Amino acid sequence: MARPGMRTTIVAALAGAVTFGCTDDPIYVQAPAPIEVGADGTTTTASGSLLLPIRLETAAEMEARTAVMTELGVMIPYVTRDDLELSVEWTVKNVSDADGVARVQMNGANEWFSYNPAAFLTGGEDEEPPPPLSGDVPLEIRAGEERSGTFREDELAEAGLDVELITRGGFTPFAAVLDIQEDMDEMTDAAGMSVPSEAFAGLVRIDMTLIADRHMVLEYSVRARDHRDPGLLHEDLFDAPPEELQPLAPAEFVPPPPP
Amino acid sequence: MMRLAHLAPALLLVAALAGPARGEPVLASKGPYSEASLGAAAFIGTSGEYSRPGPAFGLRAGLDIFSWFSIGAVLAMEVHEANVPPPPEGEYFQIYQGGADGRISVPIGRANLFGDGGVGLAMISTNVLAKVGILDPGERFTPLFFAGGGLEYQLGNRHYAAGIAGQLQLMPAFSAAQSVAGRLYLRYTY
Repeated sequence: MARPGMRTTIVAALAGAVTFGCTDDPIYVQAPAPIEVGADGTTTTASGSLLLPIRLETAAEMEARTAVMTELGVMIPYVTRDDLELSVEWTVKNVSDADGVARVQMNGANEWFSYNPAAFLTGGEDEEPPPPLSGDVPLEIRAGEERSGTFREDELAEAGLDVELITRGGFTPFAAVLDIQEDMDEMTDAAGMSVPSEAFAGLVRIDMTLIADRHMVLEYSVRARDHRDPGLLHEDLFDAPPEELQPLAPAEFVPPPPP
Repeated sequence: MMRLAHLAPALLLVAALAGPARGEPVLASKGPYSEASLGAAAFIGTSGEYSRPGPAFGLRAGLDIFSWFSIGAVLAMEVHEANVPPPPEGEYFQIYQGGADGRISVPIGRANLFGDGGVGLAMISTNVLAKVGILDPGERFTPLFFAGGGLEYQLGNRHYAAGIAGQLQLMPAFSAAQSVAGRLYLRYTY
C-alpha cells in the first residue's frame, strides 16, 4: 500500500501538471479579414492589421502601474513585453493560374506607437524604406498552390523590442531591426531616463503586408500565450463588448527631422 | 546475484499473471480501488474532421459497493492535433475531463464483463476549434456524458486486475462533439 505521503505527492504532482498545462495554453486570434492582392490585375501590395482584444485595465493594475511610473520616472505600459508571447501563423494562396512570387512582411505596434517603414522615407530619389520588423523573404508559389509559415515567438519578442528601440530609444530602424537585441536589459529614452526591460512595451497590434505579382490571398492568425493573471486577452476576443476592451490607438511613429 | 537481479522483474510479472494452484478459488479484493489507464481517443462526426486521434490517459478511483456494482471518480486527459483550415497548422489541444461514474459487472470465470456510465465536466485547453465553429467565443467548458463497457481480468495477485475498455463521450456545449476512446488499464484494489 502506498504511504500517505507518497499519495499526497502523486495527487499534488497530477494537480500541478494540469494547472501548469492550463496556464500556458495558447489562444488563437483570427485575423478579421484576409489580405488580397492582384484581384484587379494591378494591385501588388495590400496590408491588414489585427489589434489584439485586450481587456480593460483594472483599477488595481492602474494603481500599481502608476506607482512604478512614479518610482522610476518613466512611462510604464499596460501591456509589457513579458505579458504576451505572440507568434503569427500565415498562409499565402496563389489563386491565379500562373506561378508567382510573394513576400510577407510583418510590422506592428505597441500601445503607444506603430512602426511603419514608409514613414522613414524622406522623399529622396531611389530611396528604399528601412526593413520591416520581420519577413520579406521572396516565396515562389505555383499556380493554385499555397505556402504557410510562422513568425515565431522569439521573432515577435525581438520585433516588440525593436519598436521600443525605434520609438522610445531613438534607434534608427536599421540599427534596431538588423541587430539582435534580445539580451538588452535596459535602454535610455529620449529624455535620458533609464528604462528597465520590465518596462518595455509589448506588441498589441500586428500589421501584415502581402506583396505579390499574381492574384494571391494571405490569411493569418495570432497565437498568444498570456502570462498575466487575470489574462490580458478578453475571453470573448472580438466578440467582446467594445466597452470591455481597452481603448488602444497607437500613433504612427514619425522620426524627428534630421538636424 | 546479477542474474537474479535481471530475473526479478520477469519473476514478478509471472507471479502477478500466474493463476492460483489447481482447485484454489480465485480471490479478488473488494473495496477501495484505483486504476490507471492508457489508450487513444478520436472525435467522430463533424468534430472528427477537424481533429486527429490522439493518446488518452486516465486515473480512476472509487469503491466497490457490492460485488457487482462500484462507483468511481475519473480524471482523464486526451491530446489531439487540430486539423482546421490553416492558419494555424499543426497545433495541438488537450481535453481535460473529470467526472463520476458507476459500473455494473458480470463475472465470467476470472473475468468481469462490465458496463459503465457517468457524467462530469470537460475543459478544452485552447480555442483552436473556434475557427470551425465547434467552440463559441470564450467557451472552454462543457458538461460531459460518457458510457461504455469492457472486460476486466483478475490477475493472480488478488489486488491486481487488468482490463480493456471502450467509451463513447458526448460534450454537448462543444457543438455536441462526440468521441470514442479505447484504453488498457491496471487496477489495484486495496
